[in-house]
Amino acid sequence: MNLPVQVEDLTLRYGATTALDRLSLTLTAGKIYGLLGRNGSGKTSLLSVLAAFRRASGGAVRIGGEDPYENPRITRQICLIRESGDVVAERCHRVLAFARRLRPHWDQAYAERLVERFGLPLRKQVGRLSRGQRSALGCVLGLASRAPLTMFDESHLGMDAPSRYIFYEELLRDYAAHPRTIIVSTHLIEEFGPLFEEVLIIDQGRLLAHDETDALRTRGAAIVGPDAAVDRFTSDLTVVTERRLGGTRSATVDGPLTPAQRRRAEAEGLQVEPVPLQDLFVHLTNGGTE
Amino acid sequence: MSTVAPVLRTFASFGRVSLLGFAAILTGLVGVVGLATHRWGELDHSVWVIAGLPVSIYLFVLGILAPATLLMPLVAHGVTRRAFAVASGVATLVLGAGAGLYMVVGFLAERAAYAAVGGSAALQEPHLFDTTGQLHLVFAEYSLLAAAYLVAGWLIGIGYQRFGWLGGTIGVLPALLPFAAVEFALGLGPPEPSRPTADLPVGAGLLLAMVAVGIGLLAGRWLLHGVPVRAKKS
Repeated sequence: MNLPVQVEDLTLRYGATTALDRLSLTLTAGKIYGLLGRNGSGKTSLLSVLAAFRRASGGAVRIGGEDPYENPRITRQICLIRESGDVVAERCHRVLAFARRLRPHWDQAYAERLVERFGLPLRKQVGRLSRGQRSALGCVLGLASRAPLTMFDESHLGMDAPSRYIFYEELLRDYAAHPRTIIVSTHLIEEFGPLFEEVLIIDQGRLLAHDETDALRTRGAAIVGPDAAVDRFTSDLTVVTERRLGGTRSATVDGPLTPAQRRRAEAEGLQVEPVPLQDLFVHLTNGGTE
Repeated sequence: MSTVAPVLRTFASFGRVSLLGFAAILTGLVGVVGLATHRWGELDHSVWVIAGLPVSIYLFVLGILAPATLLMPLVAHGVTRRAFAVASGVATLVLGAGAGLYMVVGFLAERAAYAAVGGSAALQEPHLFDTTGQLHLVFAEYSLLAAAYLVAGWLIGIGYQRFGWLGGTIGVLPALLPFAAVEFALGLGPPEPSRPTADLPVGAGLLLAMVAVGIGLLAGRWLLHGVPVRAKKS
């Protein structure tokens, strides 16, 4: 089942606070999307409306062409795993049994393999798991549910690096074997970046950017080379961020370089690289210092 | 595929052990009270009748806990609030009937025991039935009371999920209306000569009580529609 997502003028208010402000986007089915945004930008609100956890205050959401709210044909095909966890306060094996009973595409054998890979103690109460273990349990639920629209909202928080790498590896492997629409919301942009086919950046409840990851990264360029040469080259460009290591400097500049600028950089012995996603994100959301 | 069936299986899976355990403990306790009364007192009244209130209170608590513990995980696993409401309605019917049956079986056992030792199972409070042998009325009264307590608890639980702590607390009193209405319709509680339902035919009282439970379930269904799945504080 393919589940494209269409959002038009989506508004969500909590009292006087507007979490989503006439946000519109279209996601084609069968891709991995990265959802980026600063704290309070509206990422969780957006995912909550898509998963029918909340009713929108205005606008329209169509998943597979239908409104998901109170629509069992659609809600059973959606899985949102949040950092807070939305599981019964029971032992882990009962949490898995709960999902098995309710998730139409549940793969029990795969769930058991994931539990083993993450080293989850099945007899332990969820409340007694460490934060990382709870996150791993969420990732098991999200992956083994095989929902046509699967969303992870900071689901990796608290997981140690080896566990996160298991998650990336399993996400990619299972996505290749069972293609579906996956949205990953995260602050670990550089770590998760290689997974994303397309990236959405939202800020203050609005969509700032939505593009293929590679296309997004060519919106700027990272100039790497000797300090003085980089300084000279970027003197008439807008530098978004810069890093120094010894005599080497990396400066991220706004906007794509012209062919002439690329030739000049090459002539000066400078490397031109795609802009790091994180730098672009910081620049677009105005969080960086110039 | 309907989502009601898996929700009912989930309810059964989570409530079964607790329900059976509660029934076993309550039966044992009332049995001990009966034996003690026989040993040191006089068996001139029904002892099993005291089981009625704990059954209702237990179902009241179960009603509060169901939305608090299961609603969010169920919705997060793709179950609609409507399916949760329908499954809750079915569970109310089943548990109400189960409570009625439990009381009927208890009274039957009590009658057999009293017949053996020569006691009298007289009633000290007003009931729909005049003797514990009117099993159809015993079943009707305890089924409806249990269902009404369950629905009242369920409404309180939903109120807290929907409106948060303050709104939920304000909603406690209106949520108690279903069992107040059922007690009123069945003419239970302390005798009051001025009670308008005192002269109501039994059939009409039962119908009114069923309507009260039905309205409670519909109110819950209506309240559930807008309940958001909030993030837990971690």
